[in-house]
Amino acid sequence: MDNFRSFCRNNSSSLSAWLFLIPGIIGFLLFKYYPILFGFFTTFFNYNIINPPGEFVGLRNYWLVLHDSNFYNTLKNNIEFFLVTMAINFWPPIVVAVLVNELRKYKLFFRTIYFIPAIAPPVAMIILWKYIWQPDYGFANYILKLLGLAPQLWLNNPALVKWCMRFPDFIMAGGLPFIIYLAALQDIPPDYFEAASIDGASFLQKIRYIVFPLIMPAIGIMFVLTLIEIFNYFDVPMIMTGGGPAGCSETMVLYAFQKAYRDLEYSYSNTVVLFNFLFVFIITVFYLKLSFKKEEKG
Amino acid sequence: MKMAQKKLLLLSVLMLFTVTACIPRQSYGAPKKVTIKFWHRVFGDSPEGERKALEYTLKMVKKNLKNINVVAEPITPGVDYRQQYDKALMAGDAPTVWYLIPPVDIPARAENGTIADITGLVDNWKMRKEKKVWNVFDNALKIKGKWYGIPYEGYVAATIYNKETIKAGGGDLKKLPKTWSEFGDMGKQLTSKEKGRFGYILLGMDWNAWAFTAWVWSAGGDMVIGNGDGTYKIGFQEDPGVNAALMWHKMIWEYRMTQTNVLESWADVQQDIQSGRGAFGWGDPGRYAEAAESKFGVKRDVFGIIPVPAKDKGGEPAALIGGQTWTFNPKATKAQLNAAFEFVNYVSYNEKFLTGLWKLRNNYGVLGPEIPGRFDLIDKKYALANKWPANWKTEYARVAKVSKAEPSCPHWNDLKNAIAKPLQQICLKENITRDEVKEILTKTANELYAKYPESFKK
Repeated sequence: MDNFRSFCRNNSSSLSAWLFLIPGIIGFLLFKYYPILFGFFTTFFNYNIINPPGEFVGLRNYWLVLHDSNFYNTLKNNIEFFLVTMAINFWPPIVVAVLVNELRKYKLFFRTIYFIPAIAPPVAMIILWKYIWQPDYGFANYILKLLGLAPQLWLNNPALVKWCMRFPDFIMAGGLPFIIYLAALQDIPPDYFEAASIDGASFLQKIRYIVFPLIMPAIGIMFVLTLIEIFNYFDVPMIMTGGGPAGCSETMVLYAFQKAYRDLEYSYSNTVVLFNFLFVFIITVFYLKLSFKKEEKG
Repeated sequence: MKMAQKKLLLLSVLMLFTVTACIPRQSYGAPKKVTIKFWHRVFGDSPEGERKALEYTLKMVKKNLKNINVVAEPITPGVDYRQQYDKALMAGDAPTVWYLIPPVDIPARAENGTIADITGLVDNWKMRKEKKVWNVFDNALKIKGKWYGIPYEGYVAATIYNKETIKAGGGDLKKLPKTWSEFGDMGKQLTSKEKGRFGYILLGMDWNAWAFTAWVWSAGGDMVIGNGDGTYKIGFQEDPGVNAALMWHKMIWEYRMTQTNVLESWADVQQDIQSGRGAFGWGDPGRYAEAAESKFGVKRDVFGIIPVPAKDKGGEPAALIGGQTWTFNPKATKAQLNAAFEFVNYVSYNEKFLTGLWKLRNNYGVLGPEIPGRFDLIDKKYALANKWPANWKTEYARVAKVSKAEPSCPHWNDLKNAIAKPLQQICLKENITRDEVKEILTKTANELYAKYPESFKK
């Protein structure tokens, strides 16, 4: 008993830390890791919701996914969405954050304005944009008409659909990435800029030699988060296009969702999601390793 | 034994008698009351007639089926009803009986065990023996000799038309199209994109095979053809299927008679028809009329129905029969299954009850043209419908004559899903040749042959 008491006295701070952590850990294990592991377990079965887990099929689902042309189409779509995102969505929050950081007055106002997209209800925004792109009575074609240009099919055009879907995030460049970049920028000591000014550095030189190297960790994190976001891209394709036209905007998670709830192929759906996870995991690990190596060299 | 102990014993025995006497019991010989859960689609904001019809149903069940306690619950609006059912089934909270699953879903659900085998009940069903049950879905409901559902009601889907929109576009209601070329010419004439008026609201989204099936029929073909050994030959890549796909393409790019967003969602398609933007569209007036009136103030008598026109003069027009079925919970006890079957037999097949229900619905203006599972009473139902637009009865009768049940072979839903994207591909490519269309459809058919060899065989 005395031993226990002295153990508690000596470790009181870590004990209370553990006591506070345990509910969270239990919640995490129960609601995050258990479903993930159970999902992985079901990929080896033909899951039956009446008599779970159903018939054991070994690696059959993996074989089927690897021979499914729709799966490769969704993988291609995810990669294309990622490239489009890198082209039009990734850099605007950086630019906006740099510009807002340069402001002497009204900084708070602009910070608020650019943060609002993060709290706007996403479904409402998606539906609004769906009707903006409507080719018969949408706002986008109305503008083209005013400019004397030919109307477009927008979401019905396989070549345009992904750009249209990512465009709202381009013109509303802000939200969480903007705040992260702004915080990173505000962490840069002002002395660096003063010293650079004394040395005669231009604005662009300051950006290139001071700002970018110092906000690189934030950019790296945002790169990984963007990758994860795009490989879990579901709400916009589901609401705007349903994965169309002809599967051109169908992402892996949307395909998995349809396999589960439209075709009742739960195990197959989990296998698709597992591949999605593996893909993101491998790229993230590769990217992080690369960044660590760079940091070590630096 | 001491006196005090004796008193205590006596008191205990008396208390035991008192307590047991208070427990409610079923008297010997009286049937035990069975509780069943029933899911329906009537919500707080449903039209008054719908709510009254549900109240009437539950009241009559309580009065006439005294051994059954029915717990009626609405499904959650806005959430896919199939998902709701599967989730509830996993959670052990699914209804004992409900009526939303379409017949084409039955083969897959029978295979994965999410609906109960009710062979014993159907085989001994008096109604069926008396041939009073609509048999149009038998192929879908009876899988490998076992029954998995019974008809709730059916609908006929073909070409809905809007009289006002046709008149506004200068069309002649007396010369409604009978062939594809007449349809294209009229659609072109009626379309004015500036005025937001379209000749035909094309259903090009993921459910396009639903409408496309009737177009293939109207071209003289079939989506699937039975081989006689339980397997099916795929037919949509044959000439009639290619012709039907080309007709859709022509409607978009040559006649320019469709909405530009041909892949718009089902909700948007319905709104285009309900609001009067479309002169013609896929479906049946019963499905659209109520919402058209409540949402857009469009009166139900502006709608009518004609078959999908025949490809050529002398050809057969087409229409498709779909519907819903009563299905039962595979986890229900035998007593619950019996009670649920008795409940269905009453609310869907009892003539006296149905007559009362139809009269009530008619009084509230919510008696639709759905075909009852009790097929022998269809004339009675239609005779009671004195609030329908004048043209509906004759038009429905004409369409019914050329209608066929949606195919229900194994993997039919997979076939429909597989053809959706190729059809969209064909619809969206402005310059496409007949050979290209044939190639796209043939590739899809071959993929299906390879993927489901047990169901599809050349």
